[in-house]
Amino acid sequence: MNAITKRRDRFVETEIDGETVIMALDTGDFFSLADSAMTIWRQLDHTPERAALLAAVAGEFGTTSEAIAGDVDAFLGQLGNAGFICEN
Amino acid sequence: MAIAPETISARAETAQEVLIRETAVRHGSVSPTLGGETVEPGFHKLSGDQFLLREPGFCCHYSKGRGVTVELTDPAARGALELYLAGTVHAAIASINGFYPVHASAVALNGRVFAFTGPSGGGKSTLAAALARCGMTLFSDDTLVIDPRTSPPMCVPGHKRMKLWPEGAALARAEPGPLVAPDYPKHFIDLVAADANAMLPLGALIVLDEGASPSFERLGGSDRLTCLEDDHYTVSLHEWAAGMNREARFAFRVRLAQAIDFHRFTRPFDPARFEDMLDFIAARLEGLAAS
Repeated sequence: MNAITKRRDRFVETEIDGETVIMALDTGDFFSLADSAMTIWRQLDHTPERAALLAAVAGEFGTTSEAIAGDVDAFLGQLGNAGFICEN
Repeated sequence: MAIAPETISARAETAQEVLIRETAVRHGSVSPTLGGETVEPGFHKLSGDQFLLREPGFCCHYSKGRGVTVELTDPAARGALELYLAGTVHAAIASINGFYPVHASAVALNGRVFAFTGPSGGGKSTLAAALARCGMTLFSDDTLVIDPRTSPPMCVPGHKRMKLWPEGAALARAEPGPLVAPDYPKHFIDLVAADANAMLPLGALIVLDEGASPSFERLGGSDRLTCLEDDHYTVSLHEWAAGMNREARFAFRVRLAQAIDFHRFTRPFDPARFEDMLDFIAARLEGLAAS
């Protein structure tokens, strides 16, 4: 099972006013994460395997892994495209 | 009689004291090179603790601890020289000395500074000049220097000789003075109202925006960081002087953003509604100043 790892050499982040703000070190572009996106981002530090990540996020929002899988995968795709995560 | 070291109290200079000293101007000959590189007219360069600016008709060199040397070769460029001394040169000196220049015009109210930021031509100076006739005092025009070491951030009072387009002067009900330069047709404006001359804490940084309906909203989250991103020479000068990499700049801006209250003032760009918008923002600032 692949583990999802944050590429900590590719970004810096901070929390401000309840949002997670990420800056890409190569472009200087800012990304703002709130609500479910911020939850998924934080959860990656604890549950890097996809199935466990889905279960943990689903648990936080009182739903099922199946219900959120599409949205979570789409968000992980965006993070991958931005270079912030990779699968080992 | 020897004085014991513990009886000597050394007070650190304020940012205002540093800038008064460091912006002292003398006239003399200025080399067109800095760090072995010739700076062409129309360009400037910051290198270490020095700054060199060249424009048609004059050249300015700053060296930390030695002030500013100006060589004016064309008397007709005196207006433009004044413009650059108060703007780019002042921002460079502030940056080299560890302070943070912001592209903003500011007023003081109830002991706090309220600064307007936004793109050039966005009405910052016009608004600050107009608020000066609403009971507020002009604090600085075009460049606001903040001391990032202090909490809350303290602001250094800036120059008060404003520059307005004729339309802006009319809206601010200010008498247009001489033209800044033949090829820069803003007018110098000397406001009659009192102005602030002591450092004051920053009350809020207000981003000016254009929209059909007036609104005044507090900004949070990532907006507070992006407000400090500005495609303006003040940002570049600070980055060059501080020698920060992207990661360090991010950390610096996070600290500053967390210490500053940000708002956005959106209003129509309609001269016919200027007085209404002036009343609108004056009331909002009164509210902020009272809180």
